[in-house]
Amino acid sequence: MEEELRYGKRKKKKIKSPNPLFEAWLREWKEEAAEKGIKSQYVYAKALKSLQRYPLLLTSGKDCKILENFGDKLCKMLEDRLQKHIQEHGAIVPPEPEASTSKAPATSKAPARQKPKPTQNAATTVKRAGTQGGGHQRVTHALSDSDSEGSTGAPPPPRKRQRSGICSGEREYIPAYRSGPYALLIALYRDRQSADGRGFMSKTELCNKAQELADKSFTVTDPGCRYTAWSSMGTLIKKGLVTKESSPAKYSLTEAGCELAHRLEMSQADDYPVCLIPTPRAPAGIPEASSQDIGQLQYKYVTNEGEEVINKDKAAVLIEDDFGLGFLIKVNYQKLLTSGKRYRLDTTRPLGEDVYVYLHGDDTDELAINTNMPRLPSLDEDDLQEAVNVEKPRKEVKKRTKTPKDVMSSASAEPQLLSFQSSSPRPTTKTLGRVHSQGSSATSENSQDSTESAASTCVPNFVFQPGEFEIILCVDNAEFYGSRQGGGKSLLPDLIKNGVTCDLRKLHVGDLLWVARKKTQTEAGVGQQPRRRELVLDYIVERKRMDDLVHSCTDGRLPDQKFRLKHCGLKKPIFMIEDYGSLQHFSMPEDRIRQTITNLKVIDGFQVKKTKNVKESVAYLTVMTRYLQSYYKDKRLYACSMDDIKDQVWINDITDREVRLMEFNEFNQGSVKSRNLSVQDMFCKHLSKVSGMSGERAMAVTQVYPTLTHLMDAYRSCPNKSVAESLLSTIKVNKSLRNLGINPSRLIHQLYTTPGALT
Amino acid sequence: QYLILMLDTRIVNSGGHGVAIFKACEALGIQYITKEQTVPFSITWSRQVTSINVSRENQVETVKSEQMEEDVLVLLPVADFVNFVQNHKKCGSELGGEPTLTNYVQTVKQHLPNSILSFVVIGMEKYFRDQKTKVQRKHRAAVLSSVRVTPCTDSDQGSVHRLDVEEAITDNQLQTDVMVYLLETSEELSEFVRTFSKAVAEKPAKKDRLQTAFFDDGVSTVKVDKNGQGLLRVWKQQLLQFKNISPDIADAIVQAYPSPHLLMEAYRKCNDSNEQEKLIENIVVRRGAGVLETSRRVGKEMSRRICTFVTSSNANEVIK
Repeated sequence: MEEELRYGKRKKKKIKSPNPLFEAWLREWKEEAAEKGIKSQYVYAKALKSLQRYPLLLTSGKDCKILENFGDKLCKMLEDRLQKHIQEHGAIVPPEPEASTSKAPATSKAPARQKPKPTQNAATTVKRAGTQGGGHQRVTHALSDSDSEGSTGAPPPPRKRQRSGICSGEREYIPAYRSGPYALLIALYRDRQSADGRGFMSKTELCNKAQELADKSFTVTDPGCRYTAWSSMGTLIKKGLVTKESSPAKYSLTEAGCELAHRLEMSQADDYPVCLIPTPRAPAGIPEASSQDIGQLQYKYVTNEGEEVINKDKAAVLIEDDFGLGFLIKVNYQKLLTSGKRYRLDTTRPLGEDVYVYLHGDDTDELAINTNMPRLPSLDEDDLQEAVNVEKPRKEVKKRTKTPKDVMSSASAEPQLLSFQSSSPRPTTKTLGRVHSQGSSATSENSQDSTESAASTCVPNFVFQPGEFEIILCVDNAEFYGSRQGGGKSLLPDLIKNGVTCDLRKLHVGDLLWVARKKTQTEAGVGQQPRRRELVLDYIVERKRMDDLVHSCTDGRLPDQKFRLKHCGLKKPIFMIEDYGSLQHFSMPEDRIRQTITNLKVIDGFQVKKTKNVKESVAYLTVMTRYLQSYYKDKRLYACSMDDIKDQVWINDITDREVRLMEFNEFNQGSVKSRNLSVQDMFCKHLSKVSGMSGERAMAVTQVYPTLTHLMDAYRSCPNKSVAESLLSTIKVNKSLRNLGINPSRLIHQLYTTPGALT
Repeated sequence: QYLILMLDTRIVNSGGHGVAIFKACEALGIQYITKEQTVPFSITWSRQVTSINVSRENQVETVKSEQMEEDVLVLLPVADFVNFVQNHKKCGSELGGEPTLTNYVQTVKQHLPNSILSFVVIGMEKYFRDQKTKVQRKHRAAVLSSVRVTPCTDSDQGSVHRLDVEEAITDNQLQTDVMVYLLETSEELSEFVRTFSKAVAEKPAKKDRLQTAFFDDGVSTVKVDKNGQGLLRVWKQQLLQFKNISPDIADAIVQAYPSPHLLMEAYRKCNDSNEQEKLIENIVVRRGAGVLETSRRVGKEMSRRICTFVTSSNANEVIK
């Protein structure tokens, strides 16, 4: 300690003796040996010397092996001694700043510098505990005994156990409910119990089986984290619950593991389905099919012409190098996924709950099983549950300033708003009345009004009667094929799994939108993709993963996208912002990203939906689709032209019985990115390239001189050069009625009238 | 900045988030006052507007007035929110006796008829976590005791799940167009209020930014000095505005006609419109360099487009 004080003023403060405990022990042993006159005192002395020269921290006896003059024996001795020390004093806690400042000012820097590595901290505190001799009450086991080493690799639940456990040393290991190890144990256990179990499982088998028992993925890591649920296998092996043998690895339960798994199974087996999975409440009117027999995959072969046949020989064939021979079938995608057969999606055909895929030749039967038309599948309970119940990236636990009565964020507090609500005034305006009156008579009256006024302004092209149409989610091609890296980005497979009727097509604006499509009377013609009439609903979603958002901010695409979204004619544009890793690791400062998002909402008037990951996005879209389906079920839809819709002042209310919408084709063509401009528009664009001009100013000029020809004629009719130069300077710009000014005017004149070559 | 943030006294007194909001205000340098508002836990902004009136005696007088901003932020205590979600779950979208989120939002809308509302719930994640720990504790107890415990029946009483929350929020969005944001900590709230205030402050200046029909395609205007140095690049940039034109083609045209005037002259010298259309068709465009160099012509399409632009006096003629 004194030594450290002396060196306290060094510019670069070294940790004076990084391994004080080991040194102390070695010295002790040396002296012991010297007293007894044994030669081993020299061994200890040499070891001590090399330890003192080593500047870094050693966290276990074994680590000393790297030093000169340390043998196996000595390492073992140190290790044992360390264990004993931990048992006696227990307390090895990351140092708290105030604790270190009081006695050793010079050392106070040291722990701070080491902060990122808690285990190292631990060793410094061992020293403190040893030298100060007091305050050993704190108990943790942050130091590297093999146990905690393993569990740092495990997903959150076991970590949580550590954090909360006050005396977790003695606490029995029980994996948390629906955590990785939990799922692995149960899966192994079930396999062992089942009749055809072989007593071991391979990694892939195990992952497949265990996945449905865990909330976390076994294959895909969360962003910003290197571990999957599979990582916890290490812990299980280390704890002797699972053994891993031979290569490729075979995993099997040990006796202890079996017992634990049995207990886990027993305690949860009966209540598992009831406990966490909420009964899905399909909005009224969504038929709930309950056919869950997946035993046999049911499908139909499809010919090149799109006809559905039973015979394999007539089916369309795909031959690809890496896939082999495939036969085109139409099949329920959800069931296909669960069947585990090899297939390739045929994306040229419409996608829905039934998809067209090429099934691998080896997996096909000669005759397809003749099925009735499959019913609309209900939302898959498990999937959505999984989608919503995902463990979110854990936030760092910050010191929460907890006021005793924190009503805002404490769920146990008394509800506050009821009094306010009961004192609410009666609806005053008529529009609000419409919103509020749920009685059907009042609503229909109101909407009668609105359609009458609608009829007066435009004549609908055609009408969809209630029940004649279905609501479909349209996904943009690019969003699905996405040139950007990683296949984990796509929403489509998950959406289909959730039973959302999707259609993949090219959208010129936005990423996702909903259309109402006329149901066809005969399903047979689907293969030919007949032109079916479709109306676009008012909602359009632009999906932006955080990295996309940042990217489009930096390359300037965002304003353009916003503009196009705002002017596409749909009244309710939604930005869906999906978190992706930490906000701090992008090329833009965190603040600006947040500000951009808020601006979308406040300044640009978009609806902003934030989601934490792909699954939440899928859940949102699924829920959205289902609610739209139920709300639009009873509506009568009028097809109107785009201009009429754009002129429409009011916004369709969700409770209206009759809604005016535009046709999908018209909508999509109207929003093509590079559509042909008129001469005037092009001239405006040209002018806006001159320095000192802006879009607004260029527009002002083209109001007076709509084309280049007009402008040139005007120049020609000017009596002299100076008049021509100032020709545009008095043009009024915008509302502010400011003059354009002489400089731009002169420049434009120069640009267009210089007879020779420009420079 | 002439913005004043007004927050409901209840946020400070029982919400425990007053400090966070004060901090946000100080960071932005805007004033804040706590005042009881009609809507509990609401945050509103008002702006000091100075308008100039010219009175009859030609006297200019400035009038300062306060103007309420249309954006309103309403915090929602978790307990209430959970309650709403539960009610929503019970009765769906039908009108039941219990208030749902949508009912509440509509009530607030009546109080603040011309506002754009946003709702914030703080600590939902914590709620889920608490729920989860409860389940975990039960699970652990169950395993340790090895006794079959009665299944936890909290799915129908007391607790809500993420899916329920998602449904309630989405349903509410469809019905009322109001979004509910879920935040976790005071820090997040502080950050949210800060960005929100800033956006509100800048709103008048930026409101119309999406209204102008013409948007720069990223390349801003070209700098030109007094002597007209740089105008050639302006000319090239202008040519690049046409559809499907590459810098190579633009370069070739600029080389052949180094000013718009020369091009126009050339067009004037043509005998008929047919000749005009084909005027620049045969300009050779060089691409690449060295052995990789290839050459092609400007082409009919492009020639026609540019011709239409230069010669047409019909403003509405579409350049195809």
